Order: sequence, then structure tokens, then C-alpha cells
Amino acid sequence: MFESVIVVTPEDELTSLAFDAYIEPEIDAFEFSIPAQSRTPAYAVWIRYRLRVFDASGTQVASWPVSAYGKTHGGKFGGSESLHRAAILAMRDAAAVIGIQMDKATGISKLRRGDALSAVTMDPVTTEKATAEQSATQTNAENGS
Amino acid sequence: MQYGGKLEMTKRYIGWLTILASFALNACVTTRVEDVRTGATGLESGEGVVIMAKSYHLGNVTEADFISCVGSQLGNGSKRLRVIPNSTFVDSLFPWFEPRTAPAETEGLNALLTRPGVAQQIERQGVRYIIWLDGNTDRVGGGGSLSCAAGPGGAGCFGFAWWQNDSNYEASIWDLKGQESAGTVSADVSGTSFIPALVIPIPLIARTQAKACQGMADQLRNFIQAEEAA
Repeated sequence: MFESVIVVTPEDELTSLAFDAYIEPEIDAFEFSIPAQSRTPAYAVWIRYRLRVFDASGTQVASWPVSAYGKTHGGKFGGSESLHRAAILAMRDAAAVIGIQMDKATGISKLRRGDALSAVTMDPVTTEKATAEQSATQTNAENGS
Repeated sequence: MQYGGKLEMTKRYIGWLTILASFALNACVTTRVEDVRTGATGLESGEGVVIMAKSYHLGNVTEADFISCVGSQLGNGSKRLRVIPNSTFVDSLFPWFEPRTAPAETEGLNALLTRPGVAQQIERQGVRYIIWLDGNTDRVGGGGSLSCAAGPGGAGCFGFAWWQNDSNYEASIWDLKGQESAGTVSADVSGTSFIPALVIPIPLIARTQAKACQGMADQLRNFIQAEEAA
């Protein structure tokens, strides 16, 4: 999809990197169901991602929600293993949707400045951590602490 | 004389145990396996099959162990087929055979094969047929009661329990060379399991899923190799 991709962390200085697009992924929601809840043999996982796309100047050009779904049946696997496999299937589902529909949904290819499109993406783990810290800060501020 | 009588009793005892054990392994099942051919089949040297579960986005609930059972049965025996592991195939063609993106009908095959690298990857792995499995095993009925108890003097069970399982599976065979459906194979197996218990419980299990797997694999093997046999 891209000529090159750099995964950055908060310590990285973006101004020192040459890129056409900056992608910030995060998880909006994560849900699962197990046989005891659904009364079927299925383990299911739903993940809703959000991809924010920024241009090289830092202006947000798209905010794209991606819903993903994975399902497995218990069978010979235990509950933990089945849920794990369902989560992996959901992540693969998201990756497939992003790979196929990203340009149509976000218009990211229009951000190309040179011959090839290069992107910078935030490490999802770091993004989640930063989002959680931001939420905690906001909560503390609202509570007056 | 006494020794001979004991030997005779032991033999008789072993005989009864063998009969009980064979019943425990297999209760009665009714099996119906059919195929519908819509195109010619056959395998050339180096060609193989890949077994896929029909997408759960289309409501399919086929068990993973049934899929691996059919693959294992097809890949073994004197008339075995070359079975390409499902995960290898799906990973190498990511994202085109994920549950959400895989073609639901053969009409989508042509467009898929024109995508960059798809036809080349399929040819490199020697995949001639995709077998899409659909269906599942359901418990459709059951009843009776069985209780067990244990104490200082021993343990035992008393009662009678039964349940009926129906295994209904269908395989759609897609010929990637001809880019068309070659036909379908279906396996419907039903059986009732019993556990009578008078001190010792004796399970008479109807292994419908295993029977469906065996029947489906045998029929698929004949179906795909039919032209060669002729």
C-alpha cells in the first residue's frame, strides 16, 4: 500500500522525518462473547478501530472507524485458546478491510507529494497507552484533583 | 478339569467385554452421502486441493475439527490427494481469502484471479481445487436420566440416557483452472447415542461427525479423481 512505513513512538521527533501521511490507530471498543453468554458453541470478538489520518503539516484529513469481527468454535481448543483465536481473526479482519478500503475511505493517496506514498504510523500500543493516560488526566481534571 | 473350566469362563468373559467395547465405540448411525457434478474433474501431477470453511460472515458454523478431519482423511491412504494446508494458502493470499473478503460465488473468481499476484501464488502452490465446507453437527433431541453415586463400599450408576445427533455437511468444489464450480458433495448422518447403566454405565456412542467426515472425504476423493479413474 505504501512505499515505506515508519512506526514511531512519542519519543520520536516527527519534524525530522520525511513522510506524506501520518496514521494514528486506536481501539474505540473491544467486545467478546463466550458460549455461556451466547448459548452457542461460538467464541466471538468484535473490535472497533479508529484510524486518524493527518497530512505532513499535521492537519487531520480523515477519521475512519473500522469494525472487525472474529469467530471460532470451541471444538478441541479450550476457552482461552478459542477466544485468543477469535481475537486474532478479528485483527486479521480489520487488516483486510484496511488493506482493501483505506484509500477509498480516507483518500490517503491524495496526500502523496513525491512519486511514492510514504506513511508514518503511531505504534498502536503507545497510542492506546497515551489515550488512556489522556483520559485519566481529563478525569482527574474533571474531579478537581 | 477345574483349570479348563476357569479358562473357558475367562474366554467367555473376554468375549462379552469385546462385544460391549465394540458397541461402546459404535452405535448405529444412518449415513447418506451424495454428489452433484456440474463439471469435469481430475488432477494432474503436482496439483492439489485446499480445504476452506465457508465464511462465518455468511452464517457458516462448521467446526474446525471437522475441517481438519476431512483434510487429514483426504491426505492419507492409497488414493490420497495433495492437500495444501489451509493456513499456508490463506496467509500467502492475504487479504483475499479472509472470511469477509473471500469470494462467495464462482462468479467472483475471475475478478480475484486478475488481481496482482493472486493467480501466480495459486499456481506456485499447485492449488487446482478449493473445497468449501459448510454445515455442522447438532444435537436434535435427548432424554432419560442417569445418576451415579459413590460410597465407602463402592460406586455405581443407574439409569438410562439418550441423545440424537445430526451431522449435515456440504462441500462445494471450485475448479480454479476452469474458474467454475465442479459440483457439490453432501453428507447427512444421524445417529442416536445411549448410555444404559446398571451399576456400570455402558456408552453406546453414535459418532455422527466422524462418520460424516469419513463419508465426505471418501466421496470427495472419488469425485475429484473421477476422470483419472475413467
